[in-house]
Amino acid sequence: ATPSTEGINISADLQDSNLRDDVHVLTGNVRITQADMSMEAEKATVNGLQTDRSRWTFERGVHIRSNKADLRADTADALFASGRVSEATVKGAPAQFEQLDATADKKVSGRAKVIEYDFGKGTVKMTQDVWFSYGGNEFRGDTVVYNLNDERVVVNPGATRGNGGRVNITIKPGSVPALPGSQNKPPPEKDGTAE
Amino acid sequence: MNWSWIWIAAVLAALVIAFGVASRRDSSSVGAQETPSQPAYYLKDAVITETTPEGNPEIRLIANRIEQQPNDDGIELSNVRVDYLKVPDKQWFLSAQRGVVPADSHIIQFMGNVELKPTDGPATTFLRTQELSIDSEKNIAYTTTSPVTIRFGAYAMDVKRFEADLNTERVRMEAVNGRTDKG
Repeated sequence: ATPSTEGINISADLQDSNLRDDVHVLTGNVRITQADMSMEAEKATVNGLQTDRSRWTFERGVHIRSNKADLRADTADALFASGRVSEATVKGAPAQFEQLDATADKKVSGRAKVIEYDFGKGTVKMTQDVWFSYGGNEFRGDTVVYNLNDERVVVNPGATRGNGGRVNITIKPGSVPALPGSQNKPPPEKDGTAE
Repeated sequence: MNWSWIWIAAVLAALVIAFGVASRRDSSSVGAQETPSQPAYYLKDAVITETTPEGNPEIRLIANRIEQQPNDDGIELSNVRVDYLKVPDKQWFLSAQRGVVPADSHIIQFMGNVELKPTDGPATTFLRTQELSIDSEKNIAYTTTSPVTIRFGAYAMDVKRFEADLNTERVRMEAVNGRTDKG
């Protein structure tokens, strides 16, 4: 997604600020928006609101949405730098991810304890108890990295034979195993890229 | 801390003025009855500083004019600025078109383009509103009308109500709506 130059909007029922430490706690219907990106939660704590690089922690009923992805979780940490959100890490039991602009037959969704969303690169990295579904085909593994732009999936990146978690793929009956990203067929990679 | 020190300083100044006026009164007493009620006393370009027992400035109050109202003994200040210096590293500046200190009250009210900011905060941290009161006993500043505009770095916030603890620099705001300018 091209980084937005839109302004950031904040709203909340209540804000308690410590000017000295530049720490601000927003509570009640917390909502942050920038262009088509939104972050909602019951509570948000901001460090460095008065600087060009602020760290946000969201708690309770976290819902993050961009034009491509929808994330729901219990907590989230987000970094805002140079006037835009650059990354967000959400955690839940489990946290949930869904791609928004996927066509019906390629519905993409996933669950994991930790999901890291890089807004700039358009990548979603799921770790810890990962379940990932692409057009009905299911993946389970320790780590799944999905690229929202080119729809490539890498399962257990960095794992080598014998030292990485197992990859379980379930192919939906009757579906041509056209796994994500298979249109272009780069040489199979050692780390178990699903092609 | 209460603001009686304003009165003390003002009354002392008034005594001096009053003595001067009295000594000239015999020659000009004929027209006194028709003139509109005058302030009991007023000070021009006044700088009043309250200090700690050791002499350190705690609050400095600068005003183009300070008047005591004869009808209610209240004090009215014009083009007022307050340097709140009580807590060494938590100091504040306040400026306003008007200030009012009701008689026997520890609440001072400010009106008209009121701006409050921490002295050592970034230049882009301040509050702007039309009315603000300071409870001088609790050292709390709070707004009494809205909207209130607050600036935190790149964020401009409109809030319904604002309350600041001048000792701890903790600020509470209600119904917050803020935004940054475009990137």
